[in-house]
Amino acid sequence: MIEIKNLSFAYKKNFKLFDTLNLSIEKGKIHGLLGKNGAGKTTLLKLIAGLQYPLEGNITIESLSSKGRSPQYLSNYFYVAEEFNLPSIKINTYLNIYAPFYKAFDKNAFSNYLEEFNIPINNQLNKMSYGQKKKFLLAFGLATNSKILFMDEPTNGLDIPSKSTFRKLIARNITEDRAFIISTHQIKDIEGMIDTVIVLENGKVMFKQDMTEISDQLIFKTINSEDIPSNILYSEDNIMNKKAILPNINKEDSPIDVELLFNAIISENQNLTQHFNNN
Amino acid sequence: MDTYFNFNRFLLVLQRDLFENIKSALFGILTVLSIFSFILLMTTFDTNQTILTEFGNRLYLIEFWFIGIFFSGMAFKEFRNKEKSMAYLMLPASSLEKFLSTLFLTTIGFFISYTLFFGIFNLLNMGIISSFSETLSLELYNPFNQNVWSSIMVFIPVQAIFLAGATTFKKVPLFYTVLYFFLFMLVYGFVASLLLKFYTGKVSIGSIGDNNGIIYYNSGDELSRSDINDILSIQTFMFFLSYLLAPIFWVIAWFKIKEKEV
Repeated sequence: MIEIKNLSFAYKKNFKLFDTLNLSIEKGKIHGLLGKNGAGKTTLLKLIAGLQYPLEGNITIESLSSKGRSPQYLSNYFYVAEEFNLPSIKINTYLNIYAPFYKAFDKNAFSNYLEEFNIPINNQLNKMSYGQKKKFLLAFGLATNSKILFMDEPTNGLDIPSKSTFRKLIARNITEDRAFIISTHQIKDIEGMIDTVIVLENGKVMFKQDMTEISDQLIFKTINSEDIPSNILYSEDNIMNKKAILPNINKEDSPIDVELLFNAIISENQNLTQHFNNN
Repeated sequence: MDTYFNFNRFLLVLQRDLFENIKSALFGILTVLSIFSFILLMTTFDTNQTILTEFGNRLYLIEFWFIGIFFSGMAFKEFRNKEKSMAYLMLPASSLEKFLSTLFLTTIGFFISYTLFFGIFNLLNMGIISSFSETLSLELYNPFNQNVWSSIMVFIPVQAIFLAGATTFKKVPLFYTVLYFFLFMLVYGFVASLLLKFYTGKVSIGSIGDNNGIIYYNSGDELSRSDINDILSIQTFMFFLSYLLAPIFWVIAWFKIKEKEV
């Protein structure tokens, strides 16, 4: 669905944020885009959205290049940015103005999403709180039925019930011909919801695996500090014990601790990458 | 072709621009019209009929230029805010459609709405003046007269310059456009006078000849037809410049929008 080939990009002349980055993002999945501050998550989303221009390389969505920024390309996605500015009009007016730009927009679905987020449809956009605005944008983005939905820190500013509603809506709306890309630091908010983990580090895709594959290959356990298995791939101190990642030799089921996995990846743990490469 | 321009999509962009700017546009028009009407009414009883009529007649064009330049110079406000700019650039429409929508609203759209509101204020002022004074009266202004059309012909290239300024300068574009406009006029005036001097020497327009044509002199000697053609080619150049200036600056504005995309 999204093909990124040999992408290079730099904000400064002598420092390339991305250097020959390659990534393929498949449809029908919810992708979690993770990385430390400054790893380039937002920049990558902007590059795919055509808001930044690559120095080298190419980005395509269904064969259309981001460089062309054609209306067809732009209507392929909806981007819920972390920082945004909404016009001082009512939700209804916004709907009438912007919905026609997206051919598959579902007005009934939009009303339902707003209802689930507890946002009255006659609200004035600029008078709503940050969290309400975010929920409005998420509802609008989902209702566009665009092929790709980019979400940059979507749970920032959302209260606890709204986070739960967000998770339900995302899980309910993913279809075979759509892809959702969630860039976040709030790993716990998207845990159990994402299908793929993509980790960006030092301008490279450091890790990209399906959750089913991770579950097949790894087991996440709490172990005793004095009884560390020899085949341990990564561990972290907990209050009384250790949180560990081990090879899933017996094909056991264990909930994936994405935060632990992320820490293991960015610590440049050779055991982990080697384990995936060997299997 | 659909990638560059689609009429339905253009109408959607136009609708979007209209709805998002209508409040500030109306506020601008009504404020200026109110201020000028207030000045008109306050000076009514301290003036004579001739001045009142002249002031009334000129008011249309003074306000037209004032508001028109302001709207064009402050157009594309999205580019002066990072988040608004992002939303604008992600709107699924081509840069040509976005540009044409703003161009339409700052020219034809502005002319129609301004004339309409001016007419309403004109009628209100007429009513107020006639109810307070038996001797003074304000005529209903007809905007479709020769003066207005001549003024619009001058306004269009200036509008194009300010629209290009709005896409070029990120902060207070109106101020910077005025500043650069004056600098440009200074340089242009200097270059034009140099060119005229270079081409024509000490040319003076003389008397009317026998065949009712103008006889030109250069240092006392009558100019030949080829010399006159030289002068005319400059005039033709000036004529084309007057008509090409607006399209040139509109194209610059459009390219500036495309530049913002990358």
